[in-house]
Amino acid sequence: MNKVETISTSARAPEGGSAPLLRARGLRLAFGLTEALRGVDLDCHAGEIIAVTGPSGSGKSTLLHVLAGVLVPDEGTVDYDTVRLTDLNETGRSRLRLDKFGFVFQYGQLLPDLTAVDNVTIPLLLAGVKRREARRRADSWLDRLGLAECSRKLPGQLSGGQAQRVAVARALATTPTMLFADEPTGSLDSLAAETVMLALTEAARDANTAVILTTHDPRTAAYADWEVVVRDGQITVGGAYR
Amino acid sequence: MDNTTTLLGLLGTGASYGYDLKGRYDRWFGLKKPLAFGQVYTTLTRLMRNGWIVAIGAEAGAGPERKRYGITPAGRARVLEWIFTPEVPSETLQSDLFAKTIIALLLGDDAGRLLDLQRSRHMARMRELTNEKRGAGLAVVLACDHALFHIEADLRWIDLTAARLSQLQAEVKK
Amino acid sequence: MRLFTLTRLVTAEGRGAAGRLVGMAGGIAVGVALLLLLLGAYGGITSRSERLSWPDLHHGELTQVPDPAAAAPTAGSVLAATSLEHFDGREIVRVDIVATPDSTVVVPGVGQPPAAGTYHASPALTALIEANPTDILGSRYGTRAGSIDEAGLAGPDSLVVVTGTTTENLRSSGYGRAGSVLLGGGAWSVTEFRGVSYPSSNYRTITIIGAIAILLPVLILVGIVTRLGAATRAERFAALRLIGATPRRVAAIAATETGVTSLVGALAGVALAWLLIPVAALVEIDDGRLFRTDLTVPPSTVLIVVASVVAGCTAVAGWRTSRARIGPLGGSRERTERRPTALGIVPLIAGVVVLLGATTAALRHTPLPHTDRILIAGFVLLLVGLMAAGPVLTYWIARIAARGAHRTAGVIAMNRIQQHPRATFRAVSGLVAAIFLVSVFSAGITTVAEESLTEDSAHLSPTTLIASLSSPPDDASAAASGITAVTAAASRIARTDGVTATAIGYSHPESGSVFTAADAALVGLPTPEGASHIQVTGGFFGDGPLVTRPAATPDPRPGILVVATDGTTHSVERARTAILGSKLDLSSPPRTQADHESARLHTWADRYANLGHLGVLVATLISAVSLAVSSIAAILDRKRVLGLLRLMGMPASTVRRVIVAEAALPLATVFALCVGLGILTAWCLIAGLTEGRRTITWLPPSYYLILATSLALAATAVISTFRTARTSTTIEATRIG
Repeated sequence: MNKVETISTSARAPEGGSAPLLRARGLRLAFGLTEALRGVDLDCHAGEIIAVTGPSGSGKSTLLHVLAGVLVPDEGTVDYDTVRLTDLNETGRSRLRLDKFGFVFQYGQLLPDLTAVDNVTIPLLLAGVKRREARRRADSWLDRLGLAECSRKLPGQLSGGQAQRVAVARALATTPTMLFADEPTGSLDSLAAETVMLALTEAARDANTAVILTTHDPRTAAYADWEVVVRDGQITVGGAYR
Repeated sequence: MDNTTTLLGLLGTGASYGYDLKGRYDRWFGLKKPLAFGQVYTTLTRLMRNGWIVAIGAEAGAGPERKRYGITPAGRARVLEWIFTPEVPSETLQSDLFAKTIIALLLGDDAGRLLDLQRSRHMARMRELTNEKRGAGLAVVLACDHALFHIEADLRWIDLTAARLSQLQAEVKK
Repeated sequence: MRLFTLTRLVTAEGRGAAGRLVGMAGGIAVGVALLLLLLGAYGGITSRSERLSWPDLHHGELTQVPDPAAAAPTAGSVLAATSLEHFDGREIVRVDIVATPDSTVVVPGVGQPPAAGTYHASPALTALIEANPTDILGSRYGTRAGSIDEAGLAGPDSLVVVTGTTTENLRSSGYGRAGSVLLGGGAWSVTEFRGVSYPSSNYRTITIIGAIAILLPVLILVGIVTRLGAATRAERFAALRLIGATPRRVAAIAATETGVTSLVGALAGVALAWLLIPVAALVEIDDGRLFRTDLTVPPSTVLIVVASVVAGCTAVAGWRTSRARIGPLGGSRERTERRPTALGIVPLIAGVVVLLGATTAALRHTPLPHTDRILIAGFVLLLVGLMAAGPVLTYWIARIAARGAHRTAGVIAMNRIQQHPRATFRAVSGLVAAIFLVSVFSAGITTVAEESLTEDSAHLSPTTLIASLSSPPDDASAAASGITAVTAAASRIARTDGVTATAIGYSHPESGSVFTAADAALVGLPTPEGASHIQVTGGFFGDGPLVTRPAATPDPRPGILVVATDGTTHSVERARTAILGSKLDLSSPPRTQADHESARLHTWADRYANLGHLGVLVATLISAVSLAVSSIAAILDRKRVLGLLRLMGMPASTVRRVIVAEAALPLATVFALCVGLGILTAWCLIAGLTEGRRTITWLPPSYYLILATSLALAATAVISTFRTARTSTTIEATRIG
C-alpha cells in the first residue's frame, strides 16, 4: 500500500536546513477592494529556482513584485539575507534591487534605441562600472548566451527569443544573488521558450543565483526546482509551510 | 480506469442494489461504454471477498440482483487511499482521475486536494523529464518532449478541473 | 453622420486623446490669433500710413505757391505749409492753414479748416499743452478750437496740430522728416488733402520677416502637438484596418479629426485675437501705437483665415495618414528614422550664399534687382536651412557623443538621438528659431546704437537753440528794416525766462555765418583772441566740429539766430515758444543740436525694436511650450521600458538626466550656429538694404539678457516635465504594454 504523499515534501527544496536567502511571512496586499495577496509565506534559498504558477489574476505578479521590493505589502515582512526589505524606503529598495537583484520581464524591456550590448551595459553603468569594462562584460555575457553575433543589433532586429536572452544577459550581468523573472517565456513559442529557459537556468546555476519566476506554462515551470501555486492570493501548493 | 474501486467508492455514498449501482455508474462514467450487468456482479463478488463490502438484508436464496450491498470500514479506507494516491503520470490517466474526482465529490471529500496532489506528481515528473533533456542527444530530447507535452495536457486538464470544481460539485449534488 | 461618430470613437476616447486634441486646438488657436493680429497690424500700418502722410502735402490736389504773401485762399482751396517743431525731444507736426471762412476744403480729422488764430490738436498734444504752462507750449498755436480725430492721426500718440493763420503769417517751411513722413517744405495751395499708403518698401520687408518669425514657432508647436499620442492613435487605426476599414476611410477619419479640432482651435483663435487687441494696441510699431480699430481685421479676412487654416490642417492630416500606410497589423514597433544625410545642410549653405551674394552686390553699389526680395528669400532659406540642418548636425554630434558617453543617462540619450535625430531636434527647433531670430533682431537694432552728444569748445551746447532766418529781399531799405526787426526780436527773446544770451549771425558771402566776438562768446562759440568778428563754418547740428576764424565786418544780412539757455527743458521750450511767437521770418523752426541728433538717430530699424522684442518673446514662450510637450512625449513613448528600468532599481534622477541630455544636445549643437548666422543675417539685411550706409555693431547687453532668458525658459520647460517623467515611469506604467 502506497504511503499518501504530502504536499510539503513533494515541493520542498533540498536545502531545507540552511537559512533562506529570501524569507516572506504573512504577506497581505489589497488594491482597493481587490485582495491580491491574502497571507503568503515563502522561502527561497541561495541558488534555488522557484516557479510561481497559478491562473491569471491570481496574484503571481503581485507576489513577485512584493518579494522583489517593488511593491510594499500592507501586512507581512520580506527579509533578504539580514535586511528587512519591507522596512526600507524607496531609495533603499531601489539600491538593493540594483545591487542584488536582476529582472527579466515578458517583453518590451529593452531600450529600442540601444544595441543589444548597450542594453546589457545599462545596469552595469548604473552600478558605476566604467563604460569600457561594462561593454567587455556585456559582450562576454552575450557570448555565453549564444548571442555573440547579435551584440551590435538593435532590439527591433532581434527575434523574440533573442531579445529575451539579451534581457537575461542584462539581468545576470551584475551577478545578482536573486533573479526575478515575470513570465519570461510568455510571448515565445515552445522552442524559443526552451532556449531562453535553458540559458536562464544554466547561467543562474553557474552563478549560484536564486531565481523566482512566474509563469502559466507548466513546461517553463518544469525548469524550476519546485513550484508554488497561487490561487486567489494564497499559496495552495508548495510554499514553505502548509 | 479502475472500475472496481470506483464501484466501491459509489457504494461509499450509501448501500445500494446492484442494479441501482450500475445506473449511478453509467450516469457519470458510462456515457460512452455502459457497464455490463455481468461485470457489476463479478466486481461486487471480488469486493465482498476482499472484505470491503457486505450484503445487507439478504433474502436467502435470492440472486445477486435481489441483494443490497454496503461498504465496510476497510472498504472506506481503501477508497480514501485510492483517491489520495496520485497516479503515475501516463497518457491514459484522465479517466481514472475523473473517477476519483467524482467519487471524492460524491463522498464529500476534498477533491481539490486530490487534484493538487496529482498536479505535484505531474510537475515532479515534468521536472525529471526536463532534467533528462539537459545535455542529452536529440532522440532523447524528442522522446522527453513527447512525454512532456502529454503530461502537460493532463496538467492543463487538472488545472481546468480545479477551476471548475465548485461547478462540478453542484452538478454532483443533484 | 457615421464618419463623425466613427471619428469620435476612434480618436476622442481615452484620457491621452483628450489632452492631444486640446493641445492641438490650443496650438492652432494661438497660431490663428497671432496671424490675425499680424494681419491686423499689417493692414493697420498700411491704412495708418495713409492717415499720417497727409500733412506732407505731396499727395493731394495741390500746387506749390512760391510766394505765400502774394497768394490768397479761395472757397475751394486753402494755403498750407507743414513744419516740424520740437518739444522736449518729441516731434510735433504742425500744419498751418490759411482758409476763407466759407472754405469747402476738408482737413482730415478736423473738417472745416480752423479760423486764423485757432488750432485743432491731436489728443496726445492737447494733453501735453494742458500739462505745461502756456508760455512753454500753448502760445505757439493760439486758441484751441477743437481736436483732430482718428481720421487725421497715425495713432493715439501722434502729436499733430492744425493751426489757422493768415496769409502774411504763413511761413513756407523747409524740408523735414517726421517719423516716416517726409515734409516737402514750401507753401502750397491745396484743394484736397490726401495721404498715401506705404512710403517705403523696407517696412513691408520688415513686416513680412516679423510675421514669419512669429508664425514659425507656432507652426512647430502645432506640428509637435499633432504628433502627441500618435502611437496610440496609430494602434487604433490599425485595429480599424484589421476589421476591414480601407486606407481611404482611415485617412478620412484622421482628416475629420483634425478638421473638427482645427475648426474649434481656429474659432478659439479668433476669440483670442479679439481679446488681445487691447493688449496689442499697446505695442509701438513704427510711428507709435496703433488705434484698436487699426488692428481689427475685416470679417471676410477672418473667414478666409479660418477656412484656409482648417482646410490646410485637414489636408495635411489626411495626406500624412495615407502616406503613413497604416496596415491592419499596425506599427507596434517604433520605426527608426531614416538616417539624415549631408544633403540636409544644402539649404543652409544656399541661404548663406544668397544673403552674402545679394549683400556683396549691394555693397559694390551694383545691387541686384529686387534686393529686398532676394534678402527675404535668403533669410527664409537660412531659417528653413537651420531647421533642415539641425537633425543632420545633431545626428553627427550624437554619434560622437555616444562613443564618449560613460553614464547611463548619456548612453540612453545619445543613442536615442542617434536613432531619432529629427524628433529630438524638432523638440528644440522652436527655440533654435527663436535664438536665431533674437540674434537677427538684436544685431539689426545695433545699427542705431546711441551716440552721445559731444560737448566741447568746438560744439554748441545741446540746449542752445538755433533758428535759420529767411533771406530778406534784396532791396536795401527792406534789408535795413529786416535788421531792425531781427535785432528787436532777438532782444525780446533774450528777456525770456531762462534765456542766457542771444546772438545774431550774419550771412557770410562764401559760407557760414559771421558773429561779433562778444555775441559769440556769450552763446558759447569759440572766439580767437583779438578778433572783433568771427566767421563760423561747419555743422551747427553736430555733423562735425564748428570751425571759427576771424572775419571782416559782416554783410548786414541776418542769417541765423542763436539762443543760449540755462539748459532746463522748460527754459529751452519757453525760448523756443518765444522764437516761434516772434514775428521773425524763419526758414526752419528753432532746433537744438539734441533735436537734430534724435531725428537723425531715429531710423526705421529701431522703430521695429518693440515689434522685434515682442516677436522674440512670443516665439520663445511658444518654443518653451513645444520643448516641454516634446520632452514629455519622448518619455511617454518609452514609459514602459523606462518604468521597467526603474523597477530594476534605476533612480528617477537618471530619467531626468535623459530628458536634459536629449534637450541639451541638439540645442547646444546649433546654438553657436544660430547666433553666428543670426548676426550675419542682420548685417546682410542692414547693409544690403542700405547699400552699406549702415552696418551693425557689437550686440547690446540686452541681447545677452534675452539669450539668457530664453535658455532659462528652456530649462524651466525641461524641469517642468520632471514630475510627469517620474509619475509616468512608475510600476503602473509597466503593466499595460
